[in-house]
Amino acid sequence: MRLGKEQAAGYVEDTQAAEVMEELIPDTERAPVADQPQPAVAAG
Amino acid sequence: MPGANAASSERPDRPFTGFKLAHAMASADGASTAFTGLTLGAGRVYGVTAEASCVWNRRHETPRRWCGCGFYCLHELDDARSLGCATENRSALLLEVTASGRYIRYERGLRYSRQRVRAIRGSWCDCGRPGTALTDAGSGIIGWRQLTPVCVPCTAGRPALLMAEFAARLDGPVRVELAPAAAAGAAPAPVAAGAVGADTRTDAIAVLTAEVALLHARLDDLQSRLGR
Repeated sequence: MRLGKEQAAGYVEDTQAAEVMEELIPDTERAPVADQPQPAVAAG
Repeated sequence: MPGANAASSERPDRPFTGFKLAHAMASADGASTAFTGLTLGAGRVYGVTAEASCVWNRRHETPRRWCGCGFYCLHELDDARSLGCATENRSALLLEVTASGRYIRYERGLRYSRQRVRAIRGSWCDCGRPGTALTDAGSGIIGWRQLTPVCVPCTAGRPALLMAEFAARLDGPVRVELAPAAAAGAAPAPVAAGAVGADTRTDAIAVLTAEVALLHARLDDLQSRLGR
């Protein structure tokens, strides 16, 4: 692929990747499972 | 600046948006999909987010000046569409990408180290309609079959993966933006400038039929003259 003459070089972060992930997490997933801390359950 | 070339100077706030062509691939079991490049990167499958590596020398970071390594993209969508007109690129998908990491900026595009595919912006069936599905292209690399875009009428009973299904099997979210007529399932699709669509073909067949009739008439006339 011919891109033409070189103009500059540099480094850039993909700052928008985090925004995409934010959009993918529905609000229901962000809500706490329960309002109050749940009692411990004995196991074993 | 991590691993930048000696001449690196720019440090933009936002990554670049670019446009490129890539082949669609499906894994041997059909469970996952991916992309490959058209030329240098044709032998390597990449997913939605990928880091470039040099096919000749893995010891240097990409993109390196005086080497052709790295991902490529064009600044303008129309330039990518034009590239897709070349015979060897007809079966490629047109992608919108986010280009980041180390990069070298050129007049018409970028060479860069990190890529995130954001959208499939177009593909074309051999018949000239927009491609809405993908079928086995009959080629591939070990573990991956290459796919080629087709419109629904041209699938002709062959197994096909709708473009949205292809996107759903990628390893990350990618939008599918088909031409409006293709998305609505309408046929024939609007004909882009220079493309051959159903209406254009119908017109061409009418012209050819008329020319054949004229040729037959001239032959009849010639035969009657020879008979005299």
